[in-house]
Amino acid sequence: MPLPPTPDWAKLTAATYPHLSEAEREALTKIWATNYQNFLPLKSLVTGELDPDSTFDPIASGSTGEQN
Amino acid sequence: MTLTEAAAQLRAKKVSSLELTTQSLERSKLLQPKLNAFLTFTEQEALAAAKLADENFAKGFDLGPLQGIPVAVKDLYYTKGTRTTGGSKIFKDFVPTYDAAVVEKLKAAGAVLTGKLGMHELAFGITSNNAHYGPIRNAWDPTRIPGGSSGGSGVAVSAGMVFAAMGSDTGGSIRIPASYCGTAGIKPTYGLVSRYGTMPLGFTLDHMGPLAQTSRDCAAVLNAISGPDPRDSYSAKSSFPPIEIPATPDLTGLRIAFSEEFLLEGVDPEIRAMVQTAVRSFHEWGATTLELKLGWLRDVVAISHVILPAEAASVLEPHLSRRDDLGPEIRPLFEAGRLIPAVDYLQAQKLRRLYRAKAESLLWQHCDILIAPSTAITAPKIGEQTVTLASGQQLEVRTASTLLVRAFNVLGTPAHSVVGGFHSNGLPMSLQLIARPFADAKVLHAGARFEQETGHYRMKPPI
Repeated sequence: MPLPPTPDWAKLTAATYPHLSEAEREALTKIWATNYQNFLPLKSLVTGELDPDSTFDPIASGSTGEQN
Repeated sequence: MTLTEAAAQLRAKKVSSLELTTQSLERSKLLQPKLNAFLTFTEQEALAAAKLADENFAKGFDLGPLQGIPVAVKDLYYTKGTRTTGGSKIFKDFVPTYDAAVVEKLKAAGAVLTGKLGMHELAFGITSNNAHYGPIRNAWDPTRIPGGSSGGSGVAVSAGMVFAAMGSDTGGSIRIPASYCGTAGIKPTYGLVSRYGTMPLGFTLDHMGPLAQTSRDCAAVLNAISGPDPRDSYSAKSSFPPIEIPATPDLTGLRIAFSEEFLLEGVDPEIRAMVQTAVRSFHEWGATTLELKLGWLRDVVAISHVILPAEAASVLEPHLSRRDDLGPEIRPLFEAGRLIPAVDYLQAQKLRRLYRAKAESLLWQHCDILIAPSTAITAPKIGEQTVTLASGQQLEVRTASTLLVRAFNVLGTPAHSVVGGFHSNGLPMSLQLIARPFADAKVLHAGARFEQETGHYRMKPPI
């Protein structure tokens, strides 16, 4: 059985942000439509052995986020 | 006068840093009520730094081309003892206890920091129409946006307030204001400039870089601020030689590509014609030109639409309980980002690797520089959501501003904007020059030759 393409954004939004106004809910829905309309088909290109691009570097120091 | 010319004048003792700095502050303050480019002036520190620069010149100490030059930084660079708001109400009283790496390097190079520049709230947008600190206005026409998120940086350079301004670019935020304000700007290769001490937005997409009048000026700033930094875990691990641009950069044999597919689609016809003219000109100046099919860059843009909101939400999540302190435009972007599944974020990062490999084989194997517009339109009016082209085609402002720039944040390449010409509406148009990672020198060389031949950068706003 094929997987559903994405979480149900409308339900997810309503469950996570129950107090949003109708206008705010619509703004989020529009963002989802933009973000995912072209992304979902690309997921079929991903194979199991492909690593994500930002790899963990075990010897990097980096900032520990001193501020804000 | 450009930064490079001012540097020569200082060394010829035709002007002092104190004079340049005083003029810079006076002009900035004079134009502040009209353009709103600055959030904070650092006048006392600037005057002290200018005096020190003049003393150094008198003693024969020369720290390089930025010594004694007035510059300013976007208000997401930490400045020790000076508030750093990120254009946000949340950080309106935040005073860092240390300088950003870029600020450290600017100071070490003798630059004079005159203040902190306004920006789109938390760098998450392209208008710089800031809900908390007021709209930043375009010097070419104050009823228009300067672009963003580094809007104050674009305005400060185009209106002659400073010789260079630091911006940041997560999805076009250096190149969009450079385009709408008629300046040069470079988003350097990811990792070339340290992000340490900057407010992040999308940490694998954030690039720190300068806006200035010319490619040469951009190169001077980039040379001063680039280099490895162990405090930024994504910083490049090795140094690169300084970029030196010859008097007349030789473009013989340089392969310059363009793409009618995607990069010239849905573009204002005059901007498209400007790019086509530029391609012919580069050919006349010795470059080889070719057309490539690059429709797959649309996929890269789609990848950025998943990575950016997820990373931005992870950055701001500790503050999202203060939702009333976020402007209504950016609040839903952060709230949406929180809901992106971890699996999708990771798939997007995997796809990014795939498309970097694709860029290598389908793009960089065939050309040295890719040429495109920086934006599909000229600066829109403040508050405008859509623009209608002369052809009758309607474009959404956000898409028309970001569509041609976002892919190169995902790919981490250098991308350089130069003034490409002027539209019949009197506003600047911008040419974008892109190269493979760490070929920053190539785009700056080509930009410098273009500027030398066309002189468009000499045009100044009527203000």
